[in-house]
Amino acid sequence: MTLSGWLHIGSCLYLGLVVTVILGVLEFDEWRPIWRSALRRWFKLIGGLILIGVLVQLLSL
Amino acid sequence: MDSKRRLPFGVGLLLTLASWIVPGSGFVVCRNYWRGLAIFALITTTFFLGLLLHGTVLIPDFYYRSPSFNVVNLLTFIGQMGNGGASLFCLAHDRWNWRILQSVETDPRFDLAMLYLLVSGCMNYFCVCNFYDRHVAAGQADRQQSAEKPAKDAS
Repeated sequence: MTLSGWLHIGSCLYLGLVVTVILGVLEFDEWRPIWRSALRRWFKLIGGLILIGVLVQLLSL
Repeated sequence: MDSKRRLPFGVGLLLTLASWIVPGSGFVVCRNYWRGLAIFALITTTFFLGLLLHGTVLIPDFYYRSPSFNVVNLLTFIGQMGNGGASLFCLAHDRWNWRILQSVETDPRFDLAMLYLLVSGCMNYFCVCNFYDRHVAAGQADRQQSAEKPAKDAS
């Protein structure tokens, strides 16, 4: 994979984390629930994206 | 931490504007330091990474016959303007050619950079609205309730 490809994958992981952490910071008043909710949302988001990626790969065979 | 502090409406609006210009500044002024600093760090780092990838905030073409006029460009611009101070800096930079940033529209990473700026701006919209809800709108509701209570007690 090219550098650009790695950059896009890294960006996807980083931007997803930023969005979920900010939502957690706005929602909770303590760090533990913030990290817990952020990680839960992040795994759901990345899981959904991986699922979409696998579907696209299968449909383009 | 003072996450329940209520502000008078005028001061609240000013701090909401300040939060739009500098992410998290309203929370810091309300002594909610950790929340304000976390928001500032996350949003500003994301915007800065977008600038490092040679991105910038561009004013879209508003002329509807132009080939570059489209809804996506307009919405991208509106989203990016959520991070007020940094976006205004980019617009001023382009307007007066300060030659500090190196935005290259033909760079293959330009679209990715625009996404970083977009995420940064949209997340600051959330933070500004959250600040308004916590410290301004909640104070308005409290005052309204306390004004209604004596009237009920008297009747």
